Amino acid sequence: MRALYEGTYARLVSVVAVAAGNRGDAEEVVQEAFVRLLRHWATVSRYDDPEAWVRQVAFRLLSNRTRKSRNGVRAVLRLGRSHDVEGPSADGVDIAQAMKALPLAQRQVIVLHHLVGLDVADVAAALGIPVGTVKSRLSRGRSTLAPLLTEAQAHA
Amino acid sequence: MPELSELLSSEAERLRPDRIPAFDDILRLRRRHRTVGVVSALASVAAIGTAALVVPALLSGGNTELQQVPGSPTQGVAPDALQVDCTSTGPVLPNGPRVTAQRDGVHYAFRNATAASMHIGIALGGQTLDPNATRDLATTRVAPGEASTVSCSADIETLKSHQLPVVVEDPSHVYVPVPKCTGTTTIRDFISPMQGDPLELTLRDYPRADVVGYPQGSPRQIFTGAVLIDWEGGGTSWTPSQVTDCTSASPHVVASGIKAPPPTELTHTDEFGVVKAVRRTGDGLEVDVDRVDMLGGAEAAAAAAAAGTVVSNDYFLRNDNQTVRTYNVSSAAVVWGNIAMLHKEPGAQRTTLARWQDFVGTSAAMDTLFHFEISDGLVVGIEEQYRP
Repeated sequence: MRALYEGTYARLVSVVAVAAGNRGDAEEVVQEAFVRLLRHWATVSRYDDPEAWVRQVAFRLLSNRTRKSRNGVRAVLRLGRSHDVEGPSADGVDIAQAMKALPLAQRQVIVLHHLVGLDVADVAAALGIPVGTVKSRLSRGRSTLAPLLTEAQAHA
Repeated sequence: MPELSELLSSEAERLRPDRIPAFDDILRLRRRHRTVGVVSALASVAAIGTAALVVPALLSGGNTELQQVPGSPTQGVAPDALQVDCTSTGPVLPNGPRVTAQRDGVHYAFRNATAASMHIGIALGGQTLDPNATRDLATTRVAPGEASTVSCSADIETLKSHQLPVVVEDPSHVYVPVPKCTGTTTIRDFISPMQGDPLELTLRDYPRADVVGYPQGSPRQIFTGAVLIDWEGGGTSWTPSQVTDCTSASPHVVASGIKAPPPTELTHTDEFGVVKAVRRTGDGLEVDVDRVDMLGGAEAAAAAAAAGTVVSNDYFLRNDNQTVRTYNVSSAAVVWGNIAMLHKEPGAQRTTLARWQDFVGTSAAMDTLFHFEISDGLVVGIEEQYRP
């Protein structure tokens, strides 16, 4: 399990961070997901892709965190975060700003499909939602992203 | 313009952490955090009784839970299990790809026909199977009618490429479609297991609840109209593992002028009669109702006299119109049973939609009357009419 942690932590944080919009929240949910993995390790270690399990739990925790944040109930746990994030590149600004325009649910399917590379069925399974919902969220997300990206690049 | 995937990869690289916290530090700090959480959760339970339902425990992970069938045979195949023979070239389904859903889920009987250890997979879940070994597995995460696969391979990298489609059939309608809940899921740790049946435990805190999914599965899914609760466990020990917020339709009563005694539990009676048929259609249930007037007092006496008989037990049933009316039934419908359904003392008691489905398939249902509460054309409440 330690090897899985050390081999996948950075990648998982970076993926979740794109959906979360910041690295701090991503670090917290990924850490929490690994702690939960401890209890399920006997089972998850036999899965085809234990990293997918951790990523899935982290995404669910991120959803919960967003809801709690809206309610003003904020988790207080903080483990020492990594150093400040470097300033984004021009493309980074574009995509970060564009992604912030999307609801979390759409950001999650965009990240899992276009960044992680899961097909639609696997995204649906990972998030526990119907395939049709994934397709509609992808469609709406891409539709929202397209003009924003174009506009941002035009202004760059 | 760069592709979206390229932009996302670039953004992910920018956000990639430059250091990895020590794993032991994470465990230590998280455990301290959880200790605080336990105190908070217990305080909540003490304050509002069994409100532990809304501070659920034990993450299920959302993966396909594969459960070894208790007492599973090491040889032979259960009649309704999908037999999967793992060969050196991949899975073989000697009895075909069709399997019948059971009340506790879908069953698989794997047999490793090789001398090598094999990886086996059902949807997202997977296990390994020793050489020449067999294993019976069951899962509740595969619903009838949904696309499903099974696979096995000596090389985990090729497990996905060996997937075979599986068809889960449900001719007895044992599976109740799980409501599509798009709300957030609450997960909390350190809630002790509770003794009792998940449905009964849920009904302590919610006025309505029904088993959805596989009625005897684990996790057991209970829908209250407001939330979907996953209970993990078995026997008499269960833990609410996660609660998902659901949107429930607001009641809208349609007046119908049905002549029937007021129900004891439902808000309104919008239809009243005997059930002629119940069918599974797409996402839900459909019920055919033959409307019956249950008359009392002078009206009953007059109607009985017109029919050439007399009133007994102070009521008279009139069924002049043979028109069968068809309604869709909400998977969240509240169901109240009485003596015919529950074989207990007279008095309405909460029961499940699944049990009502079972009952209406019996001969006893042919002369059992039901009240139906209907909202926006959907049956949202069913109550058995007590008859002395």
